[in-house]
Amino acid sequence: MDELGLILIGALLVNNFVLVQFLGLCPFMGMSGRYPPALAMGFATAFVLTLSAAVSHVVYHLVLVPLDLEFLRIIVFITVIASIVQFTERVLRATSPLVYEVLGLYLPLITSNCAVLAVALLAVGQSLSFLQTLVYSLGAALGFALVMVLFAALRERLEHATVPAAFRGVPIALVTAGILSLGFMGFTGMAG
Amino acid sequence: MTEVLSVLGVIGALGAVAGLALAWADRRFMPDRDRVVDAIDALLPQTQCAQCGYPGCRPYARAIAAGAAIDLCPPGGPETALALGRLLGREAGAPPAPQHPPVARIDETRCIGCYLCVPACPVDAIVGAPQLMHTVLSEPCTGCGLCVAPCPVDCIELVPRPVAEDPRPVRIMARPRNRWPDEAESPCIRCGLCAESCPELLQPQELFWYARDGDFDTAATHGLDRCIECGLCNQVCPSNIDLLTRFTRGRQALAVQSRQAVEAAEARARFERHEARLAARAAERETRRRNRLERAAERPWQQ
Repeated sequence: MDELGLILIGALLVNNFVLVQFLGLCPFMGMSGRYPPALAMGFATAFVLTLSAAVSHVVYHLVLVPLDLEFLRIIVFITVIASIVQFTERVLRATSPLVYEVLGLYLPLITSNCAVLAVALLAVGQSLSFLQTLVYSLGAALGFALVMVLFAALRERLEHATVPAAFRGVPIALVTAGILSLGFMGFTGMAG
Repeated sequence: MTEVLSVLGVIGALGAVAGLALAWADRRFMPDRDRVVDAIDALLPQTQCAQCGYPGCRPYARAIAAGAAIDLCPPGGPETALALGRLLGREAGAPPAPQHPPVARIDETRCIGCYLCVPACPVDAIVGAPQLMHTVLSEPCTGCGLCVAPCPVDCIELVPRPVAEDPRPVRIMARPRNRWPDEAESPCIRCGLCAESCPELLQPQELFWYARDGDFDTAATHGLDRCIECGLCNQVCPSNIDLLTRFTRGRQALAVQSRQAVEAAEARARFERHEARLAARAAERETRRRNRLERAAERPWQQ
């Protein structure tokens, strides 16, 4: 139990995939302009991330390892992720069409979000058990959603701040992301 | 060789499973467009003026959901285009110039009672009977101008509508002063004195940032609608910022918005009744025609 807790906190905060490992920066910068779409994007990605890590783990251990085909893992994982993204897209289009409309191009782009592939690959690389993989990917997913929400809230405030002309828009967002990342560095050494 | 075969097998099987799952999902989860159309329709001004090139606001909403441009609405102006862009995550192009909706007026000395303008009105704002003079009810009129073209004697014109700047009831009270009335404002130093002074427990400095940038909707979610305009924040602000003027302006804008929303809902209801009436009349004509045809068929000597 303690170990699972450490894995969760480790993936969520200490080794946060966006702010510490710098993965998945494209949706992080692209979809965080306003709060509601950032929330939707964060949780859509979190859903895909958790599900694809779990499915990838099963496929890897039940199909690829027995057949001695570990070298196929990247292409197989990408296929798994792509199909899960397509599946999520269809579900979202039927259940919350407005969110689907707002996310637009960024929804299929979850496929190429490197954080999603990285979690699947790292979980397999560290030879975690299925339960551990689940907790690890859940931590990573919540970490991603948390950072999206934090950053979107910051950027909404930045919109109304008196920023020097040269820094307005993306530059100040990048500076803010850097400072937020510095903040997350403070978790280093806390767990695992 | 066996390795190549197993690679092909694994990739093929994975593709087949994924394909089957997606095909199932396609059948199971039907796209729901109605909710998007509803949300878009709620942002349109409901003038039913057809200036966008679609027969009414609802048809235009349907077209937007299918991918039409979001900046075709002249009565809505840039605000509507921006709101639509925000809703749909799309960039609004150069929106048409904002207009204050005019009102149609019939010159009753020249009206010949031809009745051509009455069916043209999408919100049934013209009253009158054939061969008698008509007139426009200015309250439901949306100023769309669709009645101008059908008039054979050009007796209809669009005139500016008189409008109150602030639709709220007038309050008479002494205007609170700034801390140093004769000095200019300096930037906000985030001291928080205004928050301590606010009797409604609001955060005047946050409201100030939103109101200054004209983002009154966000300000409203932070409680601008609860501001009682007492002006205590003005009196304590060490930067001498005139918070109250911004709040008053924001609350005016919000009041105008809510009044427009009510008017839009009424116009939409009238447009729907208009459409329903036209449809009912067409159906009635169709039944009568069918009855005549049946009767004609019963009188073979006339054929």
